Amino acid sequence: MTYKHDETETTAPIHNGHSFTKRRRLHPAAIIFRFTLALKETVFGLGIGFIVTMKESFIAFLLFGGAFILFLIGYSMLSWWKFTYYVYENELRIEQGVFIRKKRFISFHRIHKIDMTANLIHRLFKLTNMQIDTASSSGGAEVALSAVKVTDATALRNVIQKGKSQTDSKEKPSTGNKEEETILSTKKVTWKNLFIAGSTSGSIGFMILAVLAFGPQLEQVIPTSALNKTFQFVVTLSIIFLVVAICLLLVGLWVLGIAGTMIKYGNFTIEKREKELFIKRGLIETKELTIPFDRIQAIGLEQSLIRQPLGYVKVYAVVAGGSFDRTEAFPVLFPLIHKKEVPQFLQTFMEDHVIELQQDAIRLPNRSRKYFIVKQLLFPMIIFCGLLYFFPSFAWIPSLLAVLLGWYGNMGYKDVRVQTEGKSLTFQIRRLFDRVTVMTYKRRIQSLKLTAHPWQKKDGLMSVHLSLIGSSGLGTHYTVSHMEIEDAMELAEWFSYQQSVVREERQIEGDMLCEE
Amino acid sequence: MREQPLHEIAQDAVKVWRIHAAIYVIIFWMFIIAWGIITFIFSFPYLYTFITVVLGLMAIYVFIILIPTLRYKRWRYEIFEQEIYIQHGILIVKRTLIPMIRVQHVDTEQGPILKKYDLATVSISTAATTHYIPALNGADAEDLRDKISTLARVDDYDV
Repeated sequence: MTYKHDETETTAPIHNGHSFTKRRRLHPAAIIFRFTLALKETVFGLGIGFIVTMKESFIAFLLFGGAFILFLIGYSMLSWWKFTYYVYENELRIEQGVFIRKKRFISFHRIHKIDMTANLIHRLFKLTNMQIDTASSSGGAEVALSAVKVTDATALRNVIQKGKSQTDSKEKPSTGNKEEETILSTKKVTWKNLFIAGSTSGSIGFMILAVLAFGPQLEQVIPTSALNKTFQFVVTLSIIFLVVAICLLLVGLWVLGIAGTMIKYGNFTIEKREKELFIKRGLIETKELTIPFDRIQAIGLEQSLIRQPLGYVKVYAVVAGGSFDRTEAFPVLFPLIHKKEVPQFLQTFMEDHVIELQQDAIRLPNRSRKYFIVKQLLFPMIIFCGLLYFFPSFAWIPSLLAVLLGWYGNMGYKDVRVQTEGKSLTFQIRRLFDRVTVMTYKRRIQSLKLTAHPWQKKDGLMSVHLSLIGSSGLGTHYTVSHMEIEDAMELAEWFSYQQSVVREERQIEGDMLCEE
Repeated sequence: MREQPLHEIAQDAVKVWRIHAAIYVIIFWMFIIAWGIITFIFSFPYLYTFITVVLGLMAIYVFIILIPTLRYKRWRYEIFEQEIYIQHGILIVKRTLIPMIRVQHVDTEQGPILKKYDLATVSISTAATTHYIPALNGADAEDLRDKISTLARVDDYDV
């Protein structure tokens, strides 16, 4: 591998072995990805063109469309041909562009993470999509090698990691043939757990809600008004048909929910490596994600209303910049685990973030309970009153819902826990339908805000707002509402970097006053 | 218990807020007048015009007279060596702590109205939030910006 770099690099031969010092092209399958991407990008403009030409004549439409598709195919092939990558002196270099040549050099030590994903086409050809991110690339990958042979991709990753460790720690010479990073521990999700996760996912919640909302009404509607009269038999039949159809639809949704979870989290594997967590998941489309430990801002446990009685939780991480995709703000570290196993799981994978709420964790005072209940009831109440006015005979529905909501508000009150231990903070709150328990460190909290509205002030309560770095630039914000004022202040003092200095200064001032 | 921050913002802030509010209230009044004219032309009942005029007068009192004064009274800030402490709010008191080492960048901004009174807004950004100290004297704002950026430059030591 004594390839000499010179000015005639643009004519360097294309090489296909395991050496990356010579220029390489992507697998031809990249043409397909390129083409579909170009089609996706232009389909809107294309649509307008089609509509215009369609009016003139069908032939013109065919010609226009055909020519355009041909152009796109040609363009995709050309851009595949022009896209080359190679490694030169601890740099990944990429040259691309059909009309405008672009060159991008990324030195290895700037590379933050390398992710590999594979869709169906990738799997067909044993390829992978390599996404190489630097610290700066917040949205989307810095460089994406859309179709690389899996063997080549792992080889390239090793080359980059080897080069990285060389530049990172010069005092520690590279150990040489370290092919894969050492895996310290690993855990796979079981199909049984995945099934539970699917059957208790959002779709079942939707189902229960629907049954709760319409169930009692149906019972009332069918027997009394319709069944007595024979000529309304058909109407009854259609109502029954409707009920059955709705039930089928709900069951279908539920099954879809299970299938969706299975596809999304199938083969879910988490690996602990020296400096990062590595997650692989997906039944049809395999996705990989690398989370460096130092980018983790907080670890959270999420327990939905349905999973709570079963004792199952989802473990997620708040990570600076990016997750698998846009639909998921924070990467899931484990889709479903029993809460008894959580401490052990965290001990194994995230020994800095073991979530264990002690018995003496701060709870809320009794007088803050009413705020939680009122908050749940306030807006529904307005609607309830309206309903009550217009349909007085159905008064029991809003009353029942009001009781349920009040009960739910009380649950939100009971859930709150706050606990500080050294530099770490653990808190538990209820957010919409989920109970979340979050553990973070003082250094991860970007700012802390205390708020009190006049009623809170009268009751001696305060809300605490914590801001962490989120996946987008907007941050992640948590609110612990209606805390005892002393507890909130204590939390602020815990967070304050200035406390000791201020106290000392005030102490000195006080002493001086005494001396005078 | 934590005391409130030491420094107040520039007194002229009240004037600036009043001008800001006045712009919106004037737009509101233009609608009221337009409605009055419509009522007159089509001889609609005058009750609604009366209600809108009352609302308009209330808007003048609340947004131009009351809120800027209340807001000014509440607004306080203090810059420590290791953190920034801000208090603001009208009905709801908000107190924010921003550690110096979490500050990413500091900006000063000056709109036309602020410029007239030689004021500037300082905005302090962390990786997750942005905080504003509105209406400081131009020189003060620049000093503050420089001070914060010097203090924030301290290496991110592990805490």
